[in-house]
Amino acid sequence: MYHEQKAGSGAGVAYNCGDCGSEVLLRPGDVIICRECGYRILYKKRTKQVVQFEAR
Amino acid sequence: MERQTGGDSHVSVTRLEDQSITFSLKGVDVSLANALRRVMIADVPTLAIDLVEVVENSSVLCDEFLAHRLGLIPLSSKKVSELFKPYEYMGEDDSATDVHLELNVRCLTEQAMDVTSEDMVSYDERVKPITFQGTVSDAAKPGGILIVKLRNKQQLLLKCIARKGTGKDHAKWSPVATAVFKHDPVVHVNQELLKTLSGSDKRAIVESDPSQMFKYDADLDTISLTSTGSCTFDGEIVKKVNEMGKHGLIDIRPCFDSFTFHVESTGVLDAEEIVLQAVHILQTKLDTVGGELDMIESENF
Repeated sequence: MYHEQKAGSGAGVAYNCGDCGSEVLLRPGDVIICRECGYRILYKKRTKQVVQFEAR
Repeated sequence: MERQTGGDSHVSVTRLEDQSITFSLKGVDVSLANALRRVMIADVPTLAIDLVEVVENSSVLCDEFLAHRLGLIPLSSKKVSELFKPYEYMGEDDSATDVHLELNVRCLTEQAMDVTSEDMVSYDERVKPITFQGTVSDAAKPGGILIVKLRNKQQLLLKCIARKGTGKDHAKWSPVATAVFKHDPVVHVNQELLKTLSGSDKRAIVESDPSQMFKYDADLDTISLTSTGSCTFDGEIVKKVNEMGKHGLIDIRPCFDSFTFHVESTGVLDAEEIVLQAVHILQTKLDTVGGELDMIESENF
């Protein structure tokens, strides 16, 4: 099985900053803010899983 | 090219190109002509992308959007007769139903890059996207079909599965762009009444017809039919004649057992092939109905 990130292992989940694009690692309870530029909108990363769609 | 089809029915091809055909069908009912048209649209099998596996997509279009666009790309379908529809095949061998294609591109330039159907790689050389060949008079540029544009460092990695299907499942499988027929006109000119008109009146009648079916012959002071192919049954010429008070001078009616078909292929199959296959499919359908009716009859008596 595929796991998005090792949640609870303490490593945190990686997000992308909506402004500068740099990677931000967040753990539960962290303030949602980019450490590079202070931007407050972070985006979840795309899954590494292959996804299948019907071409209709 | 003419062919007698038994009884009084008759087919003659007036124009034939790779991607279009014009033919006339005579001596059959409208229902049969319409059945043939509908079979060409919805029942002639072709190939189209049916499943898309997205491994990587950092383009601006979402996965579903891309999958839908890929499905609509016409694929050359010469191989279709060797394949099975997925819901008709019970075996284990995937190669009997599926043809794989791959799209793997990454933009490495500063300018936006066009990803077209020509970037697709097919695992079967007989199945590949149709590209617009371009004609001399066309202003459109030849080349692949645009799928998406990529900016610097954006990447696409898609695995596509093409399958056999028909237009009644989804329009992407329809082999025709245009499949139409029209009733041929029956034109009747009352010569006696025509003689009572002056030359300028006759000329006015000819000029009143937007489909330009008649021409005026100044030497003989008469009008003659040039071609009925352009007839649109607009009624303008009859209106003009009635205005002149000459009711019944010209009468144009649709003929109910003579049709002109015009079929244009999307490029996946030759137009001729589409018509021939449609006739064959229609025949099979009629045989099935005939067989069932025979069975009902034998049960009842």
